[in-house]
Amino acid sequence: MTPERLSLVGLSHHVAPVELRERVALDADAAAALARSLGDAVCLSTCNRTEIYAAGDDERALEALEALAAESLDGTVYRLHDDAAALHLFRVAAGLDSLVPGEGEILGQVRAAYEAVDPGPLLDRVFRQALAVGKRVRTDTAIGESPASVSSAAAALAAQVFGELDGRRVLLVGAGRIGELAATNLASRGAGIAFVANRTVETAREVAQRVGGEPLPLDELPRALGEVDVVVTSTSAPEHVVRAADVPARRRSPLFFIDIAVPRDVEPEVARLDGCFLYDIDDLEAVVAETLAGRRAEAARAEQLVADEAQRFREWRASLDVVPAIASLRARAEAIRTAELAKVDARVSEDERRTLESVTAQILNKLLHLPTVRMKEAAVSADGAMYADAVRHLFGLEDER
Amino acid sequence: VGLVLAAFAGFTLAAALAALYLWQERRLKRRATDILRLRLPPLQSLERLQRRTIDVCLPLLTLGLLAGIVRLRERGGSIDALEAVTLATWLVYGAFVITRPVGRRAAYVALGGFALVIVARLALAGGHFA
Repeated sequence: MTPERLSLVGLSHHVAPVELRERVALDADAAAALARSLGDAVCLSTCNRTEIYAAGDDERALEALEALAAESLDGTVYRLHDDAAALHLFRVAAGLDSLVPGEGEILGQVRAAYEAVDPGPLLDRVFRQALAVGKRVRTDTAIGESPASVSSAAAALAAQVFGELDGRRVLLVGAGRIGELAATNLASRGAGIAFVANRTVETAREVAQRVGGEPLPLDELPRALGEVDVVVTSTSAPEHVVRAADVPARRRSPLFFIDIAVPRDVEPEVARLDGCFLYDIDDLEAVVAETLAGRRAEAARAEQLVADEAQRFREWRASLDVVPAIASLRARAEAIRTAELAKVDARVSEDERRTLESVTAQILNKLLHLPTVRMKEAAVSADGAMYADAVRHLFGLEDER
Repeated sequence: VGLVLAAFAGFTLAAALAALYLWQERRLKRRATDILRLRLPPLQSLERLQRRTIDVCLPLLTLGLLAGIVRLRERGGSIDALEAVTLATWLVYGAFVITRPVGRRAAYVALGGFALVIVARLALAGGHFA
C-alpha cells in the first residue's frame, strides 16, 4: 500500500512570461472553485504564480491549467511530487520563491488558498506545515526586515531615529523620482508630508498633488526646516540647496536629512550640527549593500529552516508506510502469545500463569524491539515502504487486511 | 535608605539607556553601514525612556534624602560626606528635570549623575550605616 501522492502543477514568474501568467491568474473565488472541481486540491493563484496542489494524480490539474492558458504547457509548467512538491510549497510560503525574496504577502495568500477549500488529510497536513514554516521564517530570521532599495532604506533609517513615524512631518525638496519614492515610503510608515519645495512652484504643486503637502518655493525653505522632522532632497540643482546656516538652531527633536541628489543638495556641514543627521546617496547605497548581504545570510538560514521542515514532512510520509506494518506485526505477535497461553491455562496454577505471562511478554518485547527501531530508521531514509512490504511478507501479514 | 537604593537602581537604568543613546547617535552620525543590521532601539525612544526613568526616580530620591536628613537630625548628627554626595546627585538630576536637556547633553547629564551614584554606592558599601 502506498499512501496518496502529493502532486503539484504550476507556473510562476520563474518560468512563465507575464502574458501567460495573466491568463492563468484567478481571483480567490475562482481559484477555490477550480480546486473544488478537481476533488482534493488546493489552488494558489497570485499575480506571480498559479499552482495547483492535489492529492493523487496531477493529470486533471494539468488539464485545468492548460484550459486556462489555452495552450499546451509542455515544458513551461513544473510538475513536482511528494517531497519535492512539499519543499516547493514551504519555500513559497516562506517567501523564498518570490520575486522579492522574503516578502510576507505570499504567506497570507497561501493561507487564503488553503482555507478556501476543505482539503483531505494529506493536503491539510502539508499546508498547515507550510503556514507554520512561513511564520517561523518570519519570526526567526530577519529576512523580511531589511530594506532592499535606497528609498525604503531611507525610511528605515528615519525609523531608527524617530521610532514610530506617525505624526512626523516630512519636507520634500525637488521633484526627483527617487526623492518622491522615499517620501511615499516614509508616508507609508505613518509620516505626513508637510511641504513640497521646488525651484518652480508649479512643479512643486504637481508633486504635492500626488504625495500631499503644501507646495513651496525654494526661498521659503528655512521656515519649513523649522517645522519638520525629516527632509528629503532630490533636486537637480548644481549647488547646495540646504545650507547649514539655514538650519534653525537646535529644536527639541532631531532633524533627519536624506539627500538623494547628485550633486548633493545638502551642505555636508549640516551633519555636524547638533541633532542633525545627514545621509547622502552613497551612504544609503552602502547601507543597502550591507543589508542585502545580511539578507542573503538570512535567506540561507531560512532555506535551512525550510529544508528541515521538508525533512520532517518526508519522515511523516515515510512513517505512514511503516507504522501500520509495525502495528500489525505487534498485533500478530500478541495474538500468538495469548493463543498459546490459553492452551496451557488449565494446567497451571495462578502463580505460574502470571510468571508465564510476564516471561512471554518479555520475550516478545525483546524480539520485536530491534525490528521496530530498524523500521523507523528505514522510514526516515526512504526505504520505509520496502521494509514494510518485506515485514508483511515475512510474517504473512498481508492476508490480515 | 530603601527609597534611595530604588532611585539609584533607576538611575543605573537611565545611565544604561544614555550609553545606548550615545552609541546609536554616534552610529547615525557616522553613517555606520551596519545600522540596519545591528539594530538598536530608535534614538528618540531611548531618550524618552531615559527621561521618564529619571522623572520617576527623582521623587524617590527626594523622599529618601529627606527621611535620611530627618533621622540624622533626631540623632543630632550633622551632614557627612555621603549625605553630601547624595545631595549632589539630587542636584544633578533635579537640574535635569528642570532644564530638560535634549539629545547628547541629556545623555551626558544622566551619565554624570550616575558617576555620583557610583561614588555614593561605594561609600554606602564602605559601611556608612553599619
